[in-house]
Amino acid sequence: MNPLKVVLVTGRTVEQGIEGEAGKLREKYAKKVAVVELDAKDLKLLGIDEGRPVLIKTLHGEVVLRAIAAKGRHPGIVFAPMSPWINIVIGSETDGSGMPTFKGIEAEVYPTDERVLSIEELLKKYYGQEISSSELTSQELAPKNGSGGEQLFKDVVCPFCGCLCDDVEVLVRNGAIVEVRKACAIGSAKFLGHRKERALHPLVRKGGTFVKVSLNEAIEEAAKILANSKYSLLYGWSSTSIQANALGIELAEILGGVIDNTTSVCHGPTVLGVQGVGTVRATLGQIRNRADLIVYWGSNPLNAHLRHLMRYSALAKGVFVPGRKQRKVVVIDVRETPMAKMADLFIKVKPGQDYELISALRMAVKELDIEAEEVAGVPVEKIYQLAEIMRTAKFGAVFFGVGVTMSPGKDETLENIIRLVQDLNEWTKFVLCPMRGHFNVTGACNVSLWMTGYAFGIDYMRKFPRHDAAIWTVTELLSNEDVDAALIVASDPLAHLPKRAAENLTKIPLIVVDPRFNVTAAAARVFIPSSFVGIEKEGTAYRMDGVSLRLKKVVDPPEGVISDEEILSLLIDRVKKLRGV
Amino acid sequence: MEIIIKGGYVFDPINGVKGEKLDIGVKDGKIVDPSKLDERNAKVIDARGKTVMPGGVDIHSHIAGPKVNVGRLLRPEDHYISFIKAITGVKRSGTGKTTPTVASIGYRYARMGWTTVIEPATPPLKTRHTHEELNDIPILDKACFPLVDSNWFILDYISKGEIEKCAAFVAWLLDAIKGYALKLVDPGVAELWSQGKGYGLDLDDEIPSFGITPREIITGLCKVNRMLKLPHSIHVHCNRLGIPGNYSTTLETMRALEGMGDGITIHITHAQFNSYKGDNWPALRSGAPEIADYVNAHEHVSIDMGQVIFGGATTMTADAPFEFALFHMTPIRKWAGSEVEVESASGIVPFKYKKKSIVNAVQWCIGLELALLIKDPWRVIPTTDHPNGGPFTRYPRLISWLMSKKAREEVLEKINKTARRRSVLPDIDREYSLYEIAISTRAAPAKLLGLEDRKGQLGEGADADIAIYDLDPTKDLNDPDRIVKAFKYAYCTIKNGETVVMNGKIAKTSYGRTFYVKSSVLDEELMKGVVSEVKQKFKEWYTVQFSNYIIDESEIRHPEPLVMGG
Amino acid sequence: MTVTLIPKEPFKVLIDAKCITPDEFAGKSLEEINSLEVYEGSLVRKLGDLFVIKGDPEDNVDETRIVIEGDVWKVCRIGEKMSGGSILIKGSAGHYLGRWMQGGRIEVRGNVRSWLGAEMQDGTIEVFGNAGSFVGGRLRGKVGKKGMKKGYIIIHGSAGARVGHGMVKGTIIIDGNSGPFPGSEMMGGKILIRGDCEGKAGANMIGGSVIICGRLPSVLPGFYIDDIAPKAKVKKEKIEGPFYVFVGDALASRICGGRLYIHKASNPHLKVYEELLEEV
Repeated sequence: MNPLKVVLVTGRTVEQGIEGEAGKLREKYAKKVAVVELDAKDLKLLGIDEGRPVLIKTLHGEVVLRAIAAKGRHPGIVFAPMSPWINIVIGSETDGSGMPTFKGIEAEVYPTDERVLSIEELLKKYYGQEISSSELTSQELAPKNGSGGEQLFKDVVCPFCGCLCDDVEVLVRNGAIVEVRKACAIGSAKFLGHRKERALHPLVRKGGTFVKVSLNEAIEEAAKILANSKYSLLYGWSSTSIQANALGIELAEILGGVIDNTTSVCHGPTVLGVQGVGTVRATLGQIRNRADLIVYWGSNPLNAHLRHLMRYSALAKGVFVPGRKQRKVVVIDVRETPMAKMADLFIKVKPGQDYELISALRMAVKELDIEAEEVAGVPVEKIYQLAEIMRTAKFGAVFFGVGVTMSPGKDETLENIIRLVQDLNEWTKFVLCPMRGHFNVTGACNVSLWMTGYAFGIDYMRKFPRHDAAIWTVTELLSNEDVDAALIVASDPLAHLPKRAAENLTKIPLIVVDPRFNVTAAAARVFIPSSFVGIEKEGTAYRMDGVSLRLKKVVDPPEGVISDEEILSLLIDRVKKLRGV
Repeated sequence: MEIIIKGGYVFDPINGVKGEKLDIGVKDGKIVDPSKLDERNAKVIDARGKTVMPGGVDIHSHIAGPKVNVGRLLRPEDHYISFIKAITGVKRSGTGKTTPTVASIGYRYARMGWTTVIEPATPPLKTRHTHEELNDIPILDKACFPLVDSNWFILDYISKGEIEKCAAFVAWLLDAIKGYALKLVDPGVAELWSQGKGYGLDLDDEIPSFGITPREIITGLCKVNRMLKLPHSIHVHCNRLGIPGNYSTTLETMRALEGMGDGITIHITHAQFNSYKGDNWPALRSGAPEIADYVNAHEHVSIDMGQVIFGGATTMTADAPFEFALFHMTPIRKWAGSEVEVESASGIVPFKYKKKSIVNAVQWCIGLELALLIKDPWRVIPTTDHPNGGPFTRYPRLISWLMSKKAREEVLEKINKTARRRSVLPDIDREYSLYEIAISTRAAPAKLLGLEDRKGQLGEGADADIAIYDLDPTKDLNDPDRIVKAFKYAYCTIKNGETVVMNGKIAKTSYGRTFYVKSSVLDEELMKGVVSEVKQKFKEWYTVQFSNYIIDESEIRHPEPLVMGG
Repeated sequence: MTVTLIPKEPFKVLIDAKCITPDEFAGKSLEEINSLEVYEGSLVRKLGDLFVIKGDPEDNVDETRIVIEGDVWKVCRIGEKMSGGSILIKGSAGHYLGRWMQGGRIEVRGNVRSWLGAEMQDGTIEVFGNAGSFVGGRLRGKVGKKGMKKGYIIIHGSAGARVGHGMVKGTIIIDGNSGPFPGSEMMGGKILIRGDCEGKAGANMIGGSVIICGRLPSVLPGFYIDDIAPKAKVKKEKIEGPFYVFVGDALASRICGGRLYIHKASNPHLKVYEELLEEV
C-alpha cells in the first residue's frame, strides 16, 4: 500500500521524563518512549489499530515504533518522544547552528509486521554495542547510606527541570528519602527513585567486556584515554552543578579539547539568537506578578515543566495579576497540545514555518501590509488579531520552547522572535523566556560564559577559547568524526543525538560519568558512577530565568560513590601528571 | 614569603610619602618594616629608578554578575578579537575586550597594578550569580554593591516614613546577600520601567505605585546609610543620566544631601554622563564647570569620572529605559533588557564612541574637565565606568591625559571641531602629578570605600598589595607614551604578599577576598520584627523561598566580612 | 611555482592550518614550509609532520600555486587571508576555507564544510562539490558591513544554509540547490541559485539580489511583489526568466532595498501575486 506521508515532530513527554529519570535501560522506558502518536484519522488511513507497530522512514533511516492515538487532533503530523529509537531517523545537518532538526521532518509511515526493538537490540543493531551483564551495570536498589532517625528538609531545590522549584519538602528516614512533598510527578520520581537502578562500581572494558575495578583504576584508565587523545570532546554538563562545570572547563583547557553542553541540542539557537540581536528577559516573578498576557510558543509546560503554570505563569497568583482570569493565554504550536485546550487563543502553525509566522506578526505589529492571504497556515486576519492582543497587553511574556529552537530556521527563527518582542516594547512591555529543560543547563551556559566568553561549543585547541556553533558542537564534531575521545558527564547523548553522531560516539574511546549506567555507558570504555547533584551532593544551579539557587544534599550517596566534582578533580590531577604539565 | 622592595620612588599618600626613595617590606601578606626582614631569606626586588605605589583600587567597574554575563553572551564578536592563552599551572585562559571573562579581568587589572575592584551593581536576587563570578576572578580583592533604589521593601518603608525599619531591612539585605554598599541607579526607575515608563524620570517626579519621588529615595537611603555606619556613602547614578540638560538634576541631587552629616554623604558615579548642558543632542555642552564648582565648594560629595574612551564599548546599566533609548540611537542593532522581580531592571547596548561625533567628543572633554577642574584629588576618581565609557584596560591612557596637557592636545586635534570649540578643556593647564595619580587611583578610592586601613596605602600592617612601575619620576614624566607603557604593564604587582605579575607578565594565579558588610548597629528587636515582616511579604512578592535567597558565607571563596558597629 | 602537499595519513581529528596559504609559502624554502606550525587537535605539529611537501616554492605570492593531493575535510582555515596565488584541493576541504581572503584563487574538486569564503574581501573560489553553511557569510555576533566585500564564489553542487549571510558586495553562484535563508541580512551583491531553495530567502536583507531559478516554497511576509522581469543578470550572464521580482525585507528596512528574483515557471504557486501587480 501507499505510505502515509507525514511531518514528524519529536519532543519531550511526561512519561519520557519520568521513565528517563528512573533509568533508560528498563523495559518500561522502552514501552513508554518507543512510540509514535498518530491522529485517529491517520491510524484509519493506515488501516491499523492503536498499539500496532509502524515503520517510520525518513531520508536518514527507518525505525519501527508502536503507534498510539494522539490526544489532540493533528492529522498529517506524527509525534514521537525523544529517544534512541526515533533518533535513528533524525539527520545530522544543523544548518551551521549545531542543532539538528528534530521537528518538522518529512517522513513516511508504513504498517509493519516487524516488532519494536528492545533497547539492547537497538544498540546492537544500529551501533554494534552489547550491554554486558546487568549485574555489573546496575543494581535494583542501592543500599542506603546514612544514620537512623527522621529529618524533614524544607525549601529543597528540585534538580529536574529548568523551573528549579525551591519549595520542595523531602522527608528522610534512616538515610533514605521516604516522602517528597510539593514537587511535580517527575521531580518526585527523581527524588524517590534516586536509589533505583544505580550503578555502584566503576567499570573498565577489558577485552570487550566490562570489569569491575577500583575507583583509582577507573580514574587512571580515563585519564590515560584523555591524556593520550589528540582532540577530545567533553560533553553533557546540564544535569550537574556549576562547580562541576567549572572543573570541566578547566579540564578542557588543559587537554586542548572541546567542551560543549547540551544547550547545543536544545536551546543553542536561543543563545545564537541573543548573539545576533540581544534579548528581553525578566525573572519569572516579574512575569508572574505583572503579565496579563502569556504566549506559549512551541512550548508545552504540561509535558515538560509541570509546575510552571502554577508557580510562574498562566495560573499563578501575582501581585498585580491575581490569576488565570486576569491573564490572556495564547498558545502557538504545530499541533493541538493539551496546552492548546486551556488557551484563550490557539494558533496552529505549519511545522517548520514558525519563522514566517513571526515575520508576519512583526509586520502586523509595525502596521505594515502583508500581501499573502495566509502565512504558515494562519489567516492574515488572525495574525493581525494576535498582534493587536500583544500590543494592547500591559505586560506580555512569551515562553518559547524547543518547538521553536528545533524547527527549521534555527537561530534565524530565534533572532526573529526576539526582534518581535523588542518591537513590541515600542508599544508596551514585553519579555521572553526560554523554557530550558535540564535543571542546570542555564547554569552550564552561565559559567561557560564567564570563564570562556561563550555559552557552549567551545574549543581549546589553541589554548584559548574559541566558539563556533557550526564547528565545535557535539553533533557537528561527532557526525564528522572530528574528535578522537570523549568524556560524557551527566548526560546521555547516545539516547538523544541523531544516529550518525551517536554512531561515531561509539567508535571512539569513551568515558561516561553518570549516576546511572545509561544508554551511552553501554558504549563506554570507562564508566564511573557519580552521586546525584541536588540529592546527594550540594552545588549551584540556575533557573531558566537566570536566578541561581543552591542545591541541597539531603542524603548521602551510595557508599564508594563520589561526586562529579571529585571525579573531575581527580581526572584533572591525573591528566596533568600524565601530560607532564 | 618575605619580600623587600628596594630603592624605589614610593608614592603612598595616606602616609604622606611623596616619591621618596624607600624600601618596603612584605611578610605574610602584610606590609612590614623592611629593616626587620632578613635579606638572605627574603626575595629582593630591585626597584631603583622605578615607581612604587599601593595596588590600584577601582571603585566602579562592571566586572561580574548577571548583566555582565549577558553582555558577554551578546557580544561574541568582542571575544573573537581578544584572548589570553592558558599556561597550565600559571594562568588560565580568557577572552573579551569590553566584556572580558573572569581570567581576563583579573589578569589585566593585575598587569596594570590594580588589586582591588568593586562591582557596583548587582540585583540582590541574582547576587549569588555575582559572587560566583567574583569567586572566579583571579588575583583581585573585590566587593559588590546591591541595587536598592527600586526595591519594594525599601520603597514601601520610605513611603511610610519608616526609616529605622528601612535601615533594618538594608542591614539584613547586605548580610543576606553579602553586599558592601548601597547602589542607586536612576533612583526609582526600575519600578516605572516595569510598566514601560521611566525615561527622563527627574528628582521630584512621583513614582505612582509608591507615591514617592527619587529625592525621597535618595535622602531616605542616605539616612539609612549613616544610621548603619556603612563604610561607603550611598553610590548614586543620578536621575536623567545620558540626557542633555541633566547637569541641573545632578546639582539638585548633590544639594539634596547637604547637611546630612559629616564627611562624604554621596558618591556620584560616572559623573561625566550626568554633566550635560544643552537642550538636545546637537546642542550638547559641558556642564562640568558647574558640577566642579559645586564639588569644590562642598565637602559632602565625591565623584568618579566615567570617562569616555574613543572606540568600542558595551554599555550596561540598571537604567533600563535609558538603554532602550540608546538602542534607538546606535546603528548596532542589539539590545538586551532584563528585569528582576521586586528589585531592578537593566539593559545592555553595544556602542562605539567616535572622535568625529560631536556628542562623543563633548563627552570625552567633560570627563577630563571634571577631573581637572575639581581641585581635591581625594574626591574625584578616574574610571571609565567599565565597560560603559570604554574598557578598564584604557586606564593607562586616561592617566596620561590627566598627567599631560600634551597628551590631551594630541587627542583634541583629532576630535570634532565644534566639540573642541565648545569645550573648556583646551584652556585647562592643570596636569596631575604622580602623587595625585597615586591619590586618585589608590588612596582616595580606598578611603571612600572605608578600606584605608588596609588598602590604598603602604603603611605597616596594610595588605601587601603593591604595584611597581617601570617609570622614573625624575625623568620619564614628560613623555605621555612612556607613562602609558609603564601603567599598561606593571614591572611587578604584588597581591597579598605574592608576586603575581613580573615584567608585565602574569607569574602566578591566586584568588582574592570578597568584602561584605555586617552591620550590627541596630536594635535586635527591631531587626527581628523587620525580618518577620519581610518573610511574610516574601512569599507573595518573590518566586524563591526566603531561605534560598540568603547566600551562605560558604558560597564565597574567601569571604571577608567588615563588621560595623556592635 | 607549485608546492604540492600530500597528506601522510588520513586525519583523525580537526586540524588548524592557517599557514597553508600562498602568502605564508612565498619566499620560504621547502624546509621552512615543512616546519610551519599547525595544530593537530591540541598537538602543536609541523606542517611536514602531516603532509609530504614537494615542489619549488616561489618568492612571489601571486606566482605561488599550492596543490593539495588528497582529502583535507578535517583541515580548517586553508587559504585564510590569502592575497594572491592559488590553491587547488583535489579532495574535500574543511571549515573556514578562504576566510578573509583578499585575492587569488581557490579551487576544490570535492566538498567543503562551513564558512567557505567567510567575510572574504576579494578573490575567486570554485567548488565542484557541495558546500556547507554560511558560504561567504559574516561571522556570528557581528553586525553591519562586516560580511563579504567583493569577490566571486561559484559552487557547482549544492550549498547549505544562509548563503551570503550579511554580504556587502560580490557574487555567489550555486549551480545546485541551496539550504534555507540565502541572502539573510544581505546588504548588497548578488546570489544566484540555479536549483531549488529550501525557503526563507532574503530574510532581513536591505540590499542586493537573490535570484532563484528553481522552486522556493514561499516568499517571506516582509516582501512585496514589484514586477515581473524577463531576465536577470549576474556577472554578464543573462538568465532567462521571466522572474517574479519581490522587494524587501520590510522588517529590516522600510526602503525595501533588497530584491528577490523568483523564476516564474518553477513557482506556479506564486501566481496569486500576479493579481496584486495588475492592481497597481
